[in-house]
Amino acid sequence: MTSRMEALDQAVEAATPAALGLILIFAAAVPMHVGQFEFFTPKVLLIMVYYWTIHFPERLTLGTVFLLGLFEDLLLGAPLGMNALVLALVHFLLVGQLNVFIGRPFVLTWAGFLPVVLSAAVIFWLMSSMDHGAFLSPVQFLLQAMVTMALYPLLGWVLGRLFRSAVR
Amino acid sequence: MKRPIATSSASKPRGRGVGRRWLLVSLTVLAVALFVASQLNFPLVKRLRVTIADGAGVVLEVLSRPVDGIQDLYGSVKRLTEMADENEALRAENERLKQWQQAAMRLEEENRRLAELVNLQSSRPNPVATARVIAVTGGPFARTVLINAGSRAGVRRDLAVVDREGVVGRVIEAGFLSSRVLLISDINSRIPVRIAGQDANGILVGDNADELRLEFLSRGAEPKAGDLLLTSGHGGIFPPDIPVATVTAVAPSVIAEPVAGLDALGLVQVIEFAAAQPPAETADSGAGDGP
Repeated sequence: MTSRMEALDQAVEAATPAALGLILIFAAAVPMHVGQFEFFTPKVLLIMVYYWTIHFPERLTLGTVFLLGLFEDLLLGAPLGMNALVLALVHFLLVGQLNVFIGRPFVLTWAGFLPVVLSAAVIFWLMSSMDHGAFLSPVQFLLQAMVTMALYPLLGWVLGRLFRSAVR
Repeated sequence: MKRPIATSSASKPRGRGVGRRWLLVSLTVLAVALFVASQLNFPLVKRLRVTIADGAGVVLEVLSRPVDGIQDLYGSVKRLTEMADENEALRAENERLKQWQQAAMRLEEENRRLAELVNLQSSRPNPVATARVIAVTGGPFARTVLINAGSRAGVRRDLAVVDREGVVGRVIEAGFLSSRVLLISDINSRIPVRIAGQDANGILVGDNADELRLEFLSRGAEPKAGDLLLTSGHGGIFPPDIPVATVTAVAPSVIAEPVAGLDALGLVQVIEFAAAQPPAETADSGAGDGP
């Protein structure tokens, strides 16, 4: 009985990142009726991948990250492979740099998110432009990056709480 | 609020090193292959998108209910506080509309008799389905939404979508339960329009922004701020005479603002352009000329 409960616990722990990623993708797609900001939806999945890779890297695999990105591409009608590629790159690069973040206060990890979100915005812009066959205005990609950056403290805090209650 | 601090207890994921590097290379190749496949419009990619949107549509519909509920509640409270002023305005509007109703009835009758005289076929749009917007699925790269009506409700690709104000967009993917709508503000949107009250046509072009550009205007057209742009009926997707946008600026280029509430879409209607059919004998004689 105990071993069965342990197995269930492990299954829940293993499924938590993917399930939470899916919930975030859905939540971001729900119409919020926020006027002209409706289309500047923050990249919540990027926040999740960044936050969890830094804090709980053993819980998030490269494959899971890629599949979540692919699901987001398919649902949003984005150029296929765009989010999948960016999230996989972010995860891979961060895992190699974990020592930089260990023991650092929150403000520094937040600051570290800036180059990540800006680089992601550049890749999104380039791939979207390739998809359209013409250069799109980079302004909206930049705005989306800024909105994502601004949401990081709140979502990071929520993700931390969720994770702790999930693995408790 | 206590901020979390990156902990040293975090261990790296298993399979790091060369294995992870190869996995990344493989996933990158896969992502590029998928990107190319979507560029080449592989049917499998399209089917995958439609299937995902269909499945996700059920979840999104449930998730969007509370947001809609809050929105409705906010609207009700707002209306209550403005009820007295609104009542007064509605009374005045009612008086004005009664006069317009008389004029409209007279013109409708006249229009019907003239149409009969010249044997004109009706080109009124047929409503196909009324649907709710359940997801905003675009971003900086596109302006699309998902609606909760698909082929089960008769929705199919290239049907026009309107709200109570005017044109919203057109269906670009139709699943069984949900469909993806390309908004008129999307960079790929092109709508043949005419300027109300003028014999001038143009193409209304989206730019992934809140404003639209009016291009390819007829020679001699003189658009001015405040002009209403209506669908011209050319192209066979959008029925004629549906409001699309209002001109807001004419220099250096003609800019227009959509009349539909694209940033707060709730209920929309999918309509079919029932274009005027040619007389029976012409249709029969033409049928044999086809390939």
